[in-house]
Amino acid sequence: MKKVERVVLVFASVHSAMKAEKYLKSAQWPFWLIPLPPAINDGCGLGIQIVPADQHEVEIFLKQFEIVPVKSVTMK
Amino acid sequence: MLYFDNAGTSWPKPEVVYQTQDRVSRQGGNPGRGVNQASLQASRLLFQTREALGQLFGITHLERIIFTQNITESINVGLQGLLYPGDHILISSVEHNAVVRPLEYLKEKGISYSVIPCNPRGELDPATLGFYFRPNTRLLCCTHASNVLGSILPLNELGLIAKQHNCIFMVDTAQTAGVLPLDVEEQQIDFLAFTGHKSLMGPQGVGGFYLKQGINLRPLIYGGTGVHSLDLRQPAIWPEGMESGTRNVPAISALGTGVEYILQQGLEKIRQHEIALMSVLLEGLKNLPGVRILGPEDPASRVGLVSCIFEEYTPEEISFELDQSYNIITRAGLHCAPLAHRTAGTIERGALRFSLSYFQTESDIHALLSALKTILGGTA
Repeated sequence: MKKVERVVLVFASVHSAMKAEKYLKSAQWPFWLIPLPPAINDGCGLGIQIVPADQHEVEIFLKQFEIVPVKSVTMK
Repeated sequence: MLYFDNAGTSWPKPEVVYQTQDRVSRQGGNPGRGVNQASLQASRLLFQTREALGQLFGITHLERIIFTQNITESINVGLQGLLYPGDHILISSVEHNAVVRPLEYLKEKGISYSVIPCNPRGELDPATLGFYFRPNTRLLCCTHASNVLGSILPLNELGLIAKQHNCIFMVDTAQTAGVLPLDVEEQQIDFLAFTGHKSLMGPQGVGGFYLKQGINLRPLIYGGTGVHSLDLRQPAIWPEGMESGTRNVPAISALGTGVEYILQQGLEKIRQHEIALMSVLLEGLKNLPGVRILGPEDPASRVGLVSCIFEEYTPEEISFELDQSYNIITRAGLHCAPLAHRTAGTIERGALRFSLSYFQTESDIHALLSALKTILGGTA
């Protein structure tokens, strides 16, 4: 398995991640729900991996639905 | 079987509710526990039910909808988690033991309560409320409709009065959710407790509550939430921090299906059907000898249940005869609501309750009345 740089949006709750999934899916943004390591301990363990180039636009898109990730992390 | 105990638990459910519960029971997956196809799908099912409930109750912050086993648990979470020693609570005189017993327990913790009297039909005059507020009154809790008398309490006025006194407004919707309109914003409801297995048409084993954002609540149950597992303390994250332990996913999902069914049918259509059936039932009961009907006279002022007492028989005798000889299911007794029976003057003997369903027809009502006529004699 090849390791590539990824941007992951971290959510406080699974509910928030589910809400983000719903809107990203309906708008056909490319994304993947992924498990996060315990080291990212301010999240719910569930992250949404997005295309790095989309990060800014995705965050603005989600904000209109009052969905604000706890943070975004770049992972390798 | 003719089933007239829908206020106890509704039967039947829409077929799609049974199908959903069965399908989800075979799927596996624990919401929030791990990230895999099965757990994610389970999480989506909870989310979808929250969406349906949010639409029904006018709730925008869906994360403030919490799933429990039943409405009794929901009310316990609210009363035990919102109140502190020294607080004073107001309740109506038609509350269920789901409210009264936790409050009796909380007396030991220095929390007191007062009962606002309803009239013998179970109607509450909001103008009488002001007298009962004290400087330490922190919460007004009332049922939306009496499970014994069928009377509908004036939620809009009560919500307004609670706000005027800076009180939390808690509503028990066991007999009304899925039949009467509820909107937490319009009716200023801070805490709405609901049960899944009555008019919401879901299965047993699921209920829940909504709590307005900004109001703090101590959980009743602490433990694993699937999130923030490094933290040894309970996470203050909604909804997960309030849902320790595995939820009843098949039942919650089936509840969502039931609520979607209600939204498709429309509350107005459901309510009008209930009023039509109740009109036939009330009219028929009035024509039977030795029957005294409890609660308001106008069908539009009550929910779909009618309790009555008999001159010549106990409620249990009639209930047993209907069950054994006519295959008709009713409920006799005190209905876990001694305050309501005191209000009606029936605490000594209880009453017999007939409660209706969206799936019943007028011919079902006529069959019930015909059986009662045979038992009691008369012209129904």
